[in-house]
Amino acid sequence: MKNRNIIYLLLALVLAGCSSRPQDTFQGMFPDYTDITIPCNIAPLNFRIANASAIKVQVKGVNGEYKFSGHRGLVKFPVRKWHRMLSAETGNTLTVNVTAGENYRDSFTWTVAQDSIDKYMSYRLIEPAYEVWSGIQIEQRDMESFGSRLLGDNRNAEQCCMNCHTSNRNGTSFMHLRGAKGGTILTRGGRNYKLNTKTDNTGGGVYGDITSDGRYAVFTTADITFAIHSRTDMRMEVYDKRSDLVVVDFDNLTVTDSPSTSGDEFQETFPCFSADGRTIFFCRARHLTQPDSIDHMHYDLAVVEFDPETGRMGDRVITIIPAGENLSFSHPKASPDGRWLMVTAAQYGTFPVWHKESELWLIDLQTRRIDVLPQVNAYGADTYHSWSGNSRWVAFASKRDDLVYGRPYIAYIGPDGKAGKPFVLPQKDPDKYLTMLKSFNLPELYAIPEIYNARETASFYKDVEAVQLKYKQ
Amino acid sequence: MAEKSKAEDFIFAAGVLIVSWVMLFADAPFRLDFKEQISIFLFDADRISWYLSNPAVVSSVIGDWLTQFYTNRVMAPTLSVILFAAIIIGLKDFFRKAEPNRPDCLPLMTVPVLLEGYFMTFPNYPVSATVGLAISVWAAVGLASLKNSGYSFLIYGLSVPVMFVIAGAHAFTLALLLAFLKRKDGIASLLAIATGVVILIICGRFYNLTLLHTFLWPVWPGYIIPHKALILLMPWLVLTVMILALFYEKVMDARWLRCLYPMIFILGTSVSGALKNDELERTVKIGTLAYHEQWKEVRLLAQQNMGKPYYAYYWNVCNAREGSLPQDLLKGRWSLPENALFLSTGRGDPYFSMMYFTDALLEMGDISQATDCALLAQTVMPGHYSTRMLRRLVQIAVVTADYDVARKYLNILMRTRNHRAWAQDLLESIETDDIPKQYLIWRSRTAPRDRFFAQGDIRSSLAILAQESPDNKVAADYLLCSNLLEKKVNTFVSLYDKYYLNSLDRTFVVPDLYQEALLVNVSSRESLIETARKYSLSQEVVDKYIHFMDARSADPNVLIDEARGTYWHYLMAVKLNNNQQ
Repeated sequence: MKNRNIIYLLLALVLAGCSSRPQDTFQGMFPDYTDITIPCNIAPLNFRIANASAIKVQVKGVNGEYKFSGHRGLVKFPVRKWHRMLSAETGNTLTVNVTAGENYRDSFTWTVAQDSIDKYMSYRLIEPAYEVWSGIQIEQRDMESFGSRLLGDNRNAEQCCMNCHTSNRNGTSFMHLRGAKGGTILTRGGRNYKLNTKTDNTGGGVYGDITSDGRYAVFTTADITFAIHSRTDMRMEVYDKRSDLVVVDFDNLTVTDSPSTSGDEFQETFPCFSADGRTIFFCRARHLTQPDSIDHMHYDLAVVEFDPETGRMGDRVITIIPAGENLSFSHPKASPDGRWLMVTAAQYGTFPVWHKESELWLIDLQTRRIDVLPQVNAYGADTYHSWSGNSRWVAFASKRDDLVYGRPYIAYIGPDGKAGKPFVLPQKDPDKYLTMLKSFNLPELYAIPEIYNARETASFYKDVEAVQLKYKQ
Repeated sequence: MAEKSKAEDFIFAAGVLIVSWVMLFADAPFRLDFKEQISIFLFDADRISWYLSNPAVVSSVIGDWLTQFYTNRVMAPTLSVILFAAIIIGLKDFFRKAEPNRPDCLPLMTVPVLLEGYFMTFPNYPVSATVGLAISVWAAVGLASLKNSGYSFLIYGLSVPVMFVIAGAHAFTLALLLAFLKRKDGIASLLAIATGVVILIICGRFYNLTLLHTFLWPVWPGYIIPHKALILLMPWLVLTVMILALFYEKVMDARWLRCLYPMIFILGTSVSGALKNDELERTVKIGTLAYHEQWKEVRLLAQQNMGKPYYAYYWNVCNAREGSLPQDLLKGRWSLPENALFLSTGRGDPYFSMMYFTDALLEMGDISQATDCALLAQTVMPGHYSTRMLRRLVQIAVVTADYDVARKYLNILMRTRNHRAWAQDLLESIETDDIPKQYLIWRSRTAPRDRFFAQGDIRSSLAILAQESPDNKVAADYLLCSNLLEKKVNTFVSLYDKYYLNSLDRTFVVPDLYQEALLVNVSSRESLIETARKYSLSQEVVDKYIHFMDARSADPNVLIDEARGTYWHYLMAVKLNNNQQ
């Protein structure tokens, strides 16, 4: 009897604590999936309609008509039916009619591209706090479903800082782990290694890229710090006190630098290889005292030759696009087909993730024509892009929705360089974006899944001694 | 005789529960309230996925949900005591099933509850941990009711890791209870339970938890509960002691049982002494009152306890809000602690500091560091959510007119039981552009131009604010007062010249503290007249200073009491903290 009373009391509390869904703070459809070009293998574009209950979705394609429904304002497409629809309508434009009660009607299109997107995306989940404390995760997401796997979780790695995971899409990848037992986890040839890229002559690797054969990587070595803005609409400014470039040869476990990309006169950062691996694109600015002169640090887009036979950078740096009074480049990434180079353009500095004005620009490497991609960019920091293996899709992090939390967006880049309207990575329940207090950092597309998980990453951090790379003059 | 003994046991257990309720109600109301401030209950996609990706799924959901009610002063101890009662009754049922031929030992069952009550008074000890203990105990009751079959050892073995998924680290409690239950059933059952424990530990690794995390989940070791987390191992030790005691037949003898009462009474008294922890309660209380904007009560409490760090800090926040920071800086106390104006928010500092410092930072108009502190405080919470810091982030976003950011946080708060109305009101204010006055005051104090400063460099930040926002006298006062407290009189004078002297309007009355400080370096009558004219000093202060100096030249010690309350007294009588010298 006594137990029953306790149960009644608990039930009463349950009823008191339960409540109906609150009013939505967004208008219309969330996320905005209207009039977009989508990969033929993308996961269902589940969405919400603000303050709606029952929803009807009618999709008209060339090869059929598909009906779906939603409840409590949420449309969740059945995964199999969704993929059957995409398979049947690949290359076609679908007309989508959405009805939610009397008050909401919308009609828009989905163009199903024949080009698929890489099956996996990795990103770092991190609070947008000014300093890292806890709860960093690197997650690998299946783009065709909603499945995900943790590649790293700093809870079990002594809360070390984990940098973003970078892949060359051919099975070689790296991820930096900071902290006392840190190192760079290299995955190559189906095996994992832990490397110490710091030598007596050169600093440890930071931002980097890998050649398509996986033999070489090029890294920034930088002394990174940050300052806080006094103005309320700016947050923080991350900057390099000094930065140079180094090349790592994974076959011989050596690190090489070059007078052309090191020294005190210039700061070099964000290197990436061209598709043929014979050129290194990077950003470079003349060294100024920081933080006082941060807003005068304007990084040019530059190149230096790279010889894959010797693993050495050339002697001459050529500026291909100079920075300007209100223009600074970062994160150049060459498309795998060698045709395009996408960069981030901001007003100044080297860390555009907190620059609300930063946007993506597309450079045609054949004609040197620049497209400032008005259809892709939005106010609120569009940064950290990554190409898919077929060069038709870019993923990038954008803070356009609330200016604080980065979300992974995807945009189509046609063979002629014409870009489509970007859309946010679909989630099983898009509410995730509304309530999640973590940013999605550096979305990285790749086709071959990683062979390790968070547990093994932690084990690598704690138990494995890093292989010391040697400096080669 | 047995009936009488049962009645005595029942009265004793009921007494323990009643005393627990009274103690929690009277001594720890703000600590219980604080649990809600550093957690959140959301039942949406992201949160469900968070629950599912960690152990203690069920106990976390129930615990977080119950925590919503801990803001109510009666509900908080009531719910705690209900959980305690569930644990006591569960343990009693378990031991009755495990040892049907022996008398009940109800008083012994109150021991874990006494300890749980003690843990409950730590603001950052989650309710889900107590829920986890209750679930584990009742799972043991259920398993004790199972009839033995050929496969029952499998059930016992599997139940331990399953309980880890359901209730977290208290799965170890279940393992202990099961080991006791099956101790006579042969090695197979015990081996199965031991295997279950091994699987549990492996499970912890699959959840990406360290061994310590596995032993404590849903309590987080490290930053959130430094060192103290280890004492959570005690419930298991206590249970072990209980079990060992039960092995010993004579303990069940009524004569020995009588000895338990005074032993438990002593334990209860020491627990209640620890539970009392007035200082922690007051620390939480003053921050909570500030959170609820009960500034009169904050001022009163601060006044009564000003020698302590957070009270002096809040005393000054109250004064800054009323524009009387310099006037009241030295009132009441001679020895101001180092962090009377600023709280330290570095790695290893208490999370109270991060949360509380946002109050002063908002008043100063230092939005950048207020955001930094709020985000950091949120980040160090076990679930990375704090309703209090979410509200702070909303306020910051409204001050900076970043309404998209505000909507993001409001959207979360509107899904909570306790903050929905607040969030709804503020959202309407945003939508109708009818921003509450206090936000506009804060907004007027922010820096219009952009400058850089290092994180935590509060003085550079204040200098920028005082320089860039001539209306922001709060920032200027904080900067000037910090120099006065540190006895950097020359710096004070140069900053005063910079921020006040050239921007004074005719109606401005220079606070006595500043007047007194401006006179400190005056060495002759001529320079005194010149200084008094330059700074428009009152004749009263000047006369007092002349009197003070004359008397001091006669006897350096004689006027100390007479000058009490002046900056000269502070300068000469109060010893500086070694760090400040």
